[in-house]
Amino acid sequence: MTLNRRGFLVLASSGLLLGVAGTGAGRGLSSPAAPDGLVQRFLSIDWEGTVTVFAKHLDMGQGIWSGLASIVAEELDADWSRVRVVGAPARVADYAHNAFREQTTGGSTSTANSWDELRRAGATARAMLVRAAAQAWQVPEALVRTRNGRLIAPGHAAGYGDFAAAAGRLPVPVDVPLKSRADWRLLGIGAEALPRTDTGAKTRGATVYGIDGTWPDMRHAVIARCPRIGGRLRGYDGTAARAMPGVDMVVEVPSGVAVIARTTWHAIRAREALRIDWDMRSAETRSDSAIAADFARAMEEGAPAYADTRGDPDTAFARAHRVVEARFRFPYLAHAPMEPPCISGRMVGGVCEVRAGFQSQTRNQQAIADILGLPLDRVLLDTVPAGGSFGRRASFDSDWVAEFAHVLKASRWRWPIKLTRTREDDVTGGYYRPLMIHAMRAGLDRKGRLIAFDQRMAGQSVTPNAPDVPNWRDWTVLEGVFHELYACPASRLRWWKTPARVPVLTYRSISNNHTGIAKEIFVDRLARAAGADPVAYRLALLEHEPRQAAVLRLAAEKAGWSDPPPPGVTRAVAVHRSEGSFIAQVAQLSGTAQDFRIERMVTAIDCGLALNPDTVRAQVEGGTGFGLSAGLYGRVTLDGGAAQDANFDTYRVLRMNEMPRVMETHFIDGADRPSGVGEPGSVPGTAAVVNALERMGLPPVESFPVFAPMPDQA
Amino acid sequence: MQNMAVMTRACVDRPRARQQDRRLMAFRVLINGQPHALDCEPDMPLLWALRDLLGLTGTKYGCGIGQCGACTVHIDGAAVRSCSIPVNEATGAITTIEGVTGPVAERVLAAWDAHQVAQCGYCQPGQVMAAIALITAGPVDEEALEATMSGNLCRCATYMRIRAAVREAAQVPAQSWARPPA
Repeated sequence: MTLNRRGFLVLASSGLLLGVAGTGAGRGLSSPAAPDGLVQRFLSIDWEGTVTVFAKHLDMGQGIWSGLASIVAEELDADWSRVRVVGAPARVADYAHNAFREQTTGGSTSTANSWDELRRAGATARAMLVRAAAQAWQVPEALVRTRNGRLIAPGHAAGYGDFAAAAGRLPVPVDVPLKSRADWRLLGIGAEALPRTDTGAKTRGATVYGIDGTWPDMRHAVIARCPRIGGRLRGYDGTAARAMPGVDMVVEVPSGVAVIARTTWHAIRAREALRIDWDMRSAETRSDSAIAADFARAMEEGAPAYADTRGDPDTAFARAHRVVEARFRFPYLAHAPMEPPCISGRMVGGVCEVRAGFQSQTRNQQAIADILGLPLDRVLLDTVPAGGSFGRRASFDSDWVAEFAHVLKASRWRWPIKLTRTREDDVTGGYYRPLMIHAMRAGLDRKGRLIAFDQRMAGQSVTPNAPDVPNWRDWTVLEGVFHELYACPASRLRWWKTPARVPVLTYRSISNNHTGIAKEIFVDRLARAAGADPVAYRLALLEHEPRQAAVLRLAAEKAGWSDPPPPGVTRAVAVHRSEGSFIAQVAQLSGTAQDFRIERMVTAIDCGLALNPDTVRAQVEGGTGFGLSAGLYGRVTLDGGAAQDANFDTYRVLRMNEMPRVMETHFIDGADRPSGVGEPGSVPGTAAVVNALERMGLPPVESFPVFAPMPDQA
Repeated sequence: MQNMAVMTRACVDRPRARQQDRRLMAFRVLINGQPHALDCEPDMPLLWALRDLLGLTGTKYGCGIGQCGACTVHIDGAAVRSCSIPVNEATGAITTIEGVTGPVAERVLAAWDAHQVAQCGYCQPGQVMAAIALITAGPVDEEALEATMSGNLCRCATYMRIRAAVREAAQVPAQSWARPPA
């Protein structure tokens, strides 16, 4: 991907978007004097008419590069086949997330966050092209039309490339009108599905990921880290490793010992020859079951970090005809993206150039600058597509980026370096989805209606530097809880913030991957206890949540809920709201609770304005599989603070034969703004499958994953 | 693929230029029809030779233990986990995603495009190579499809579309699709 690299170097050195390298300065659409740089920040058009969109968000598979480009292309009236996307440079002044105020990607917010500015960027560029053509052709602007990357007026026609340079010299207009939805050609339900801009290169192995970066005379590094999570280096003997073939250098770094060698394999082999003395004083020493038991005990003692009460739950429970209780233990999970977090780069002329799938560019850049003692503008990030992330690359302390800077520094930047994490490094290295405990109680009246609810949770927070505010609602732990999403007149929620030395991190759908699943399994049990239809039971609790109710009704309708399921098939449902979107899924299972097949998964989603429905569908499909993977099989087992699962042989992830046989996705398309798509699909399907399994006779699930649960040590 | 084996005759021409004091040897291998000299230890996994010595980074590292299939290449047309075969055993015509050609490859790649399979895309070269080898080996039914392709992991879980793309490229008979009831 030379274009990527050239684009990186040009952007990095000039800071101006003059079009693709080699096309000649001044020949592309550019206007350095623009009042807010709106156009230049986000796109360029070269003399051939190729539109390059600069994506400030990371594409880790969710399709955001294409999604962002499609917003620009719609307003620009671009020829989609001539649109390409590159990662924007790390520059917080130009590319900050409009809500998070730093350059980062997360929370399924990228489309919504970029919607306004990219529409304006595309429309403004189009207006400039129209003006340039009108001036050259000496016709009124009103007579110049645009379509598919071309400018057309009576007696005239030209491609965008022909006027890109002239347009770039014009003043940037303000308040350019945006298209009305009726005029959209590329976006929305009803438009022909846009192929992603990255499909061809990815499928043919041409995409450069962080692990694929190469530099002249590059060396390959791996790091030996403490097997017990949180342990530190006390001392080491690198004599044998240094004598191994292909080894260039063995150096100490804060997280352990780095081996720098001719190839990744030489580095991995030599690492095995290191003799290391670890200082375990700061290490976690417990098993994950023991941590879970400690967390459960904490809920019986001490004061919660957060409590919220509605009504009078104690009195309501006293009046209850029946009380239903449940406990859930959710294990630590490794994100295990297919590309482990890998990064390469070099120091050249006092500038550090690095290439990887950066998810939090502002923090990543700062971490490197701090370690190398460089000003920020001398740390240039080339953000390339990531081979998955699911939250892993968004670590708040930039751990995997900082390690690279330490290796580069320790090697005295003698060579460009690529730092690779092996799968074992990735799975055993901490930075997991937090282990969480839920204890839920519900009081039902004689008719089975919910009149009292109580939920206790215990676990670590994902939030770094949580504000020191009493009873602060930590959304990274609490978002998606039953207490907040289902209507109950008397309800209480408490969370105990419990310590462990295992670093934890955002994981697809943040807290919803436990809160939402616990909620939907529990409400299904309440429906069974009440002898009620699970759709109707939920609808009664969702009168204040019309959009959840609507997707639930649509999923039920499309699944044929009102008719009995076919013989031998069990049907179950779940609904949730997360990342601003609303989603319901109906699962149909055949077989037995131990040996089953997911025959069909029907989804209804309301993600606001669905810009690229096929991408939404893809995220629902993939998210469902990702959620099932965790719910059915996912657990990092800790023993003595050391992860026992290191690779895909024991850290099991979903395979094709475990995927639903048929999936269909239906849309509610009523809103005028897009909302989140990357994460919501990973939650309800798992609950729906567990609900079906319980309806097929599986004993109530208390611990995850369903098929190798974390044992109870309480 | 069959024609590839003819076109690119296997030639691993060992102990040429053996270096006495180290275990390095110059292996001559045929990759994508081109001869290459690999200056490395005999037990170096083919994966790392491809990636780090030859710069053929379309073949991906995912696990290193033959569990995920991201590193799948063809040797004489058969799918091989390149992480699990040392260069001195890779005695055949090696084809990587960068060099795979022929009518089956074209059908598979076209189906992958048409179904918009890739999300993060990292595992897809390995998926594609597995699918090409499967289809090239003979008629594919649903059972063979599931059994073979379940050997390749996709963390984005693009399995619905992989399945659809292989069905299309392999022209799997629709009646063998194990349709769900109703």
